[in-house]
Amino acid sequence: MTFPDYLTTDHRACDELLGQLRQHANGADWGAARTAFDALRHDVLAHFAAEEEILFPAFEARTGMRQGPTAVMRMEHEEARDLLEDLAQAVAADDREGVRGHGEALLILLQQHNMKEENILYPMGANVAGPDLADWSARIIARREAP
Amino acid sequence: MQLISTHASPSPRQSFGHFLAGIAGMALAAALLAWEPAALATRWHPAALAAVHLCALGGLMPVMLGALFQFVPVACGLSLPDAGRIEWLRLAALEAGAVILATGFVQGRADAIAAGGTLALASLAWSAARLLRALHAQPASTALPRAMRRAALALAMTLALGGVLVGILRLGGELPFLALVDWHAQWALAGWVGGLILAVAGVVVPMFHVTAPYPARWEQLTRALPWLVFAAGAGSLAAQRWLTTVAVAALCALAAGFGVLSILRVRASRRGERDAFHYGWLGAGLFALLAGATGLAAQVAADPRWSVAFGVIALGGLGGITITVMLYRIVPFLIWLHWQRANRARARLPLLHQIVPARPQAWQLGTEAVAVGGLALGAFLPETVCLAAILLFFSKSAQFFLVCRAIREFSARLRVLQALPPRPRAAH
Repeated sequence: MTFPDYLTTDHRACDELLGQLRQHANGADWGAARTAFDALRHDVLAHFAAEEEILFPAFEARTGMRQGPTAVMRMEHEEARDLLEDLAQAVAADDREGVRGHGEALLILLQQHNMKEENILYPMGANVAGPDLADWSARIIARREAP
Repeated sequence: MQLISTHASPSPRQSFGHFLAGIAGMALAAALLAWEPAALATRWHPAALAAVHLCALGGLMPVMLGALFQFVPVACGLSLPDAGRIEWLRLAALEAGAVILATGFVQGRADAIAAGGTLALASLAWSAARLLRALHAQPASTALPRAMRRAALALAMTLALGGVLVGILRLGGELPFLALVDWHAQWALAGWVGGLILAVAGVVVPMFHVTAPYPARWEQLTRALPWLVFAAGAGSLAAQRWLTTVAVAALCALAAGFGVLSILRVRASRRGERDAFHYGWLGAGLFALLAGATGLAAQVAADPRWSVAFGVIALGGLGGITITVMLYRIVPFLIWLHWQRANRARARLPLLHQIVPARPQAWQLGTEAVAVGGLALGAFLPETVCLAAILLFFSKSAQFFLVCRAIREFSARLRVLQALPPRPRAAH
């Protein structure tokens, strides 16, 4: 599997976890909400790490663009990390309204971020990777799935 | 390479200005219908023509443009540089053009129709050129930019035909006026409004509702949309009624298909919320389905009331409800995002669903849908028109108030956040 397909599938899996978190919080099932949140936080942060440690440096080295799309993506990762912190506090406090509000903000932030990655950055990355696409993909997948 | 960032978007205040102007334009159209309920007796009633142009040009159009300023850079990676004061002038010209055009229709004054039409055309030609230029600046590697190009081309066709109609009114000529009016309306409704909704929904529905994407075959089918609109008009101009009927039937099938596919997807949403965004998209899907059904009835039945019902459902229902539901996502998120980016102190911010409060949102959306349904019914039961128009006016006024209050709060809180000292970030 190439990294655009893998990371796109991973985006959808994170969306599902966020949906589960919100469903459990709305149903006041806080045990299940915490489990869903832990999985969500782990997967989102591992996804960001795979991009920031493998994909973005490889893309920057190949294109010479360090202040282009990867800088924007890193900034948005920071915004998502802040929201995960807010969500963690809301989940810890059994705060349904907090989960609703921060959860929706995270969903919209991640979707507009994913749109850019899936429509622009990943196709560009696969293009500049050229014959190294399989190598890039293997390293990205290994980092994402590292324990 | 464009910088794919919301920083590449024009200022949110510019979009907010467009949103407020658009909501006011739609409220004005509703007020006109309340003042002249007989407008919906026929699609050719002067007040009906005035209301249509107030709603489309003064209402839907500014909201669509304001949303595109923010959406295009994010979704397509294209920069729409901030045109500053020219954008405000363009918006003023569009709104003034819509009002003058509507006045011209109501008073039967060809000079006012020509003046208003020219003003609106000049304003929109600028927007269409800017959008087309941005969309053609980079290769369209995915479905979304391709679909948006098709919609923008439909806008260009709408404007070109609008220009021809204004020219005929001013200078006369032997051109088939009624066939050109129909074609102008088809490019506007099916090509531009419908095309843009199809393009945006293809991304927004699966991603923001956390549901299945539209089938790949569906995306291929939607590519036929501008060709079908072309065929519908060509059949009419060449007096080949069968061609027009086939093309319109296919367009109606597309609208109904979109409605069914959207409803199925939103019903299967795994987003975990049942709020105005959820029910609003269900409503938009239902109105698309109804637009397909009434559009087909208008084409094949001899009863002209179906045309009126179709126009109300397509413009006020599918167009209006989609815009309302998107406004309730775009406005709070833009406000929250700009607060968050200014929030170096990490102060506590209002939650997203508190910026435009969730319950009034749902009430406004519900009353708008009921009012549009009442207006569509008014084609057959004229006594419902006045009440439905009054309800729509109050619903749009309530929306104006909700959005206005959120924008005022945005400016006030932004100033406070910018003045606060930064708090050191925790290491991740």
